[in-house]
Amino acid sequence: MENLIEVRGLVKKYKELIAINNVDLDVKKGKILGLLGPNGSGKTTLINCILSLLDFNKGSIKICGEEMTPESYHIKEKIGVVFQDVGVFEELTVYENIDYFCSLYINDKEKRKKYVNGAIDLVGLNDFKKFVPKKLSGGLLRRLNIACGIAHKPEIIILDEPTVAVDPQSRNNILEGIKKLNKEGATIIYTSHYMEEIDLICDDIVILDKGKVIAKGTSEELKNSIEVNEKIKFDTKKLSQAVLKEIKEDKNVIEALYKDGSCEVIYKKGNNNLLNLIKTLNKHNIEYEAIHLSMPTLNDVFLELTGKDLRD
Amino acid sequence: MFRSVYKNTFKILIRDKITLFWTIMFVVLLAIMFKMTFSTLDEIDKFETLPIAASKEVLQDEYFKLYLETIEKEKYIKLIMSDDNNANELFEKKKIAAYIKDEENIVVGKSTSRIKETIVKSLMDGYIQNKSLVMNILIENPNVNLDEILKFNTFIKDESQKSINIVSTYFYTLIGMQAIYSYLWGLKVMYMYEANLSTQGKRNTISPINKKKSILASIIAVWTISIITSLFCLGFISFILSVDIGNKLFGILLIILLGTFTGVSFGSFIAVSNKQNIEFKNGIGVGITMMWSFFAGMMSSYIKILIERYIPVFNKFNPVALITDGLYSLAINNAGIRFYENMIYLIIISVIFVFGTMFFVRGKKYESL
Amino acid sequence: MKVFKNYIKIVNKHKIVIGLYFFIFFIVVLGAAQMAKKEGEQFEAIKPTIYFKNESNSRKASKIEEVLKEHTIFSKEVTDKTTEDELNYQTISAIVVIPKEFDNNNIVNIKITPKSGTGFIISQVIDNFLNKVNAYEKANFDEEKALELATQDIKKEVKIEYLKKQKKTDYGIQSYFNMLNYTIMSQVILVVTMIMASFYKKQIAARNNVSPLPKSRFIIELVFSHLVVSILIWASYIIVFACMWPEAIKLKATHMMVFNSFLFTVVITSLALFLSSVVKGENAILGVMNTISLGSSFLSGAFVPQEFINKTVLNISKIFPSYYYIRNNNLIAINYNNTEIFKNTVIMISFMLGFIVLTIIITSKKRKTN
Repeated sequence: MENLIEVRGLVKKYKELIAINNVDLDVKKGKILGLLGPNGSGKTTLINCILSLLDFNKGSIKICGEEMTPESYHIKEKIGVVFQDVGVFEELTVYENIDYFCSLYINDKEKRKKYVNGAIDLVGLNDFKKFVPKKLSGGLLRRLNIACGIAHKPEIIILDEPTVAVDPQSRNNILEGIKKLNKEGATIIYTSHYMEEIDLICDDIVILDKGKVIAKGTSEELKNSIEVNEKIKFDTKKLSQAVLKEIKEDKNVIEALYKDGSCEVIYKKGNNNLLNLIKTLNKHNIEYEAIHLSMPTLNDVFLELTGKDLRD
Repeated sequence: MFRSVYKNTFKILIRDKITLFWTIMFVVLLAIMFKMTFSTLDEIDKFETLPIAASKEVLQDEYFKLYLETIEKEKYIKLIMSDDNNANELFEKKKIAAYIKDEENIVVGKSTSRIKETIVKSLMDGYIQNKSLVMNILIENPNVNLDEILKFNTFIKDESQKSINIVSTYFYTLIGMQAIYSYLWGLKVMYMYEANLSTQGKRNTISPINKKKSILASIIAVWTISIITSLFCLGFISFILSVDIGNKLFGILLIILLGTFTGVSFGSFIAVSNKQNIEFKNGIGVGITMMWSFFAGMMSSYIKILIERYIPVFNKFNPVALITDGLYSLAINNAGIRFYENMIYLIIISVIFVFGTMFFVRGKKYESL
Repeated sequence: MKVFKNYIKIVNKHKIVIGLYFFIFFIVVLGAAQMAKKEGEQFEAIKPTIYFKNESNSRKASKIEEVLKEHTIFSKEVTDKTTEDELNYQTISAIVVIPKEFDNNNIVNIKITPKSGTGFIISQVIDNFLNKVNAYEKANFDEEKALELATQDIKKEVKIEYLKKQKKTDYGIQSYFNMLNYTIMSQVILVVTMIMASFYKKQIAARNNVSPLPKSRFIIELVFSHLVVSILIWASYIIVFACMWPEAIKLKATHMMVFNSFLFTVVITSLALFLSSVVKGENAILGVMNTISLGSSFLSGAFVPQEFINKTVLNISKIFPSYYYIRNNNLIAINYNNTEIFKNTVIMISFMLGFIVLTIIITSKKRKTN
């Protein structure tokens, strides 16, 4: 599959701080690439370098097979960006804002009108066309921010943490919209520190930490690459140390913790983990309830690779 | 695309009611205050008939009396009968400029300019000087016809032309300052194109539109607004406050067009020429504009003359001074060489700022955002 | 003193801008002070500055020059090219040219500002002298004798006395302090409103409101911080003054003007606080700052002396604390025991209290509505 964006050996330093440390990245055409990492991992810096907004010290960036520069207007025509900060004009209405930014890409008035209305439809701002940004809630403002970035139907869409401080309804709306855009043919880079979103919509995932790529792959591949396979949680009023020890002695168990009436057992890959656990509990007549099974998450991937949570 | 950027920029600016309001209002308010302050400024050196008191005893000298009556006929003085006590009261009430004790001793009240008192002295000196003259002549030629000899002629050819009311020069400087204050609009619009200053700037930077073209479109939109506000202020000063700024419409319009463009390009240059924050850029704009206004004579017209005397080249690159001098030269010599010289310097300054702006926005990447 | 420390950090970040303002405004103050005049105890006739050019070779012309030198000051800086401008801007009172034809027609060319008093004085000097020479010549004196006698005559003067005894005054100090009205007002308002813009940002104000730091403590520290910065600005001007005029700084009158300017700085700080609570937006702040500092400076007599300003206008200017500040400087320059000085000081303090009260009312109201 064709790589629409290729980043090779990218290094970006701010004096002594290495913000991007030898990053390689491929964005395949028609796919959604998720850039996952905690705050300060370099996601936004990487995006700004790709967009030729930021200077970098080493490496190369190619978009559609060409080196990206500030004067690469024919490449810029194909890109739409939704920045982390809301960037709209306070003096213009919702419609006027989207129209203005779309006009930077689309000259034809009629075509542009169609696109603008399409964008308003996509983000669900039909009832707010004549509102000025001051009158919009945080969630609606974010939607406007998105509409301004994608109204011109770009081939490549970059969304930099578009759902920060957004209510759940707006968030779902945004994620649905992104999937729709991808279905229509857009290649998307989606950055976030919310693993659930990345897990939900992204085809390929790159995990960043301290400016470095620490893992790449699909969600499945990443989860399968770690030791942790499943977690079983149950509630019990009483669990002695001896029983806990016996649980831990299972060769598939990585860790078992009991605290405040709740026990969590973390397993490696293996079959019959649940069956074996229940057998052990029944053997010792342990009363249990609310058994809950969960599969590994991207946070587990991050935790195993770095020793800390994504939210740390 | 050019039209779209122009239209949208115009919309954004015209809806910024606060900036629009204050750009006009501060000039209107200042103009009113100038008018009030300077209402008596040209009275300081105005020659008017001076009320002078004299005692009856003094007027007993018929020659002295004749002299005083002669200069009263010429309307140089107005004679008031008084005595020592009454004179004090008249001084307190500021009803007299001087009190004649005798032909060689005059009393005056305190005034800051001392011009009236010097005129009184000059007139009174005339009498004792003439007395000496007459005595010298009579000693040599006792039979001369004194009336014929003492006939006063004037040996002066007054070539005074229509002069500018000095108060008008303060208004010229105010108009100049207002035109250069368009830098605020220039700054505002460039924030829309600087990726490190606003998210709109990021959007504009990553868009496929040629940055120079879109900046140019925005600058022209800003210029349009500046012209409108400047013309409004000019109209207020000229028609409402009745300040004489001349009637050379073409010249005045040219000054406004070039002056506002210089202000706008100055603002855009400040915005892109350095990587400092918004407060710094605003501060530079305020400080430099104030300095230019000061050296153009806003607080004291004498400063402008001092600069012309000792470092004339400084005001050749001071847009406020160029606009002031442009309006001044329109008033005195009908849009001659001097006027066009000022306009050329304004063009040069604008071109420098525009090229500077284009240079700094060309293919820009940032160190950090 | 967390708020104070934080304030100083913010000020530190803006130090370049603040320094730039100081530099520019200082040039303005210095320029104004240099131009101030001095006044003696005895009456001295003014000597208007003129541009003089003698194109004639005659003895009479050189005598006119001699006589004019006694009564006027010949400007050395004015050139042929700049005479008209200098006359229009009233830096010279007349352009006097004795043309070549003077030998034949005895006519001196003069250009003055029409109906000006100084123009009249200069014309009188020339006409008086030439009339005397003419009179002597008509009385059959030869030219040389006529010139000699006319020159002697013209030296005779009446004695002018002031009604009341005057004090020797140097208006330079007063001009410096009067000019401080504009510079301190502009700088303090700019700096205070610039810093308050950070504190008044919605999120920051909200954070401060929910913090355990008592509101009153927060306000006290903030006000204290503003005062510290304003006083530093004021002190910079005083230090510069002391360096440039070390003799003047020892005078009692100067001490009083220094105190007067200190009090004025405090008053303006309270005005700046008030403005930052009502005016929003950077451009609005700039507009308000310019209007108030320039406008009040003009109306109250910082640039044009109060004696030359219309009484009605001066009455209007009494709405500004500037009027009382400048009036005090003017009174101190003449007689620092004047009781009106104390009255004006009280009025300035009242302005300060008024601004503080208004600020408290407005900020409490805003907090409630927000």
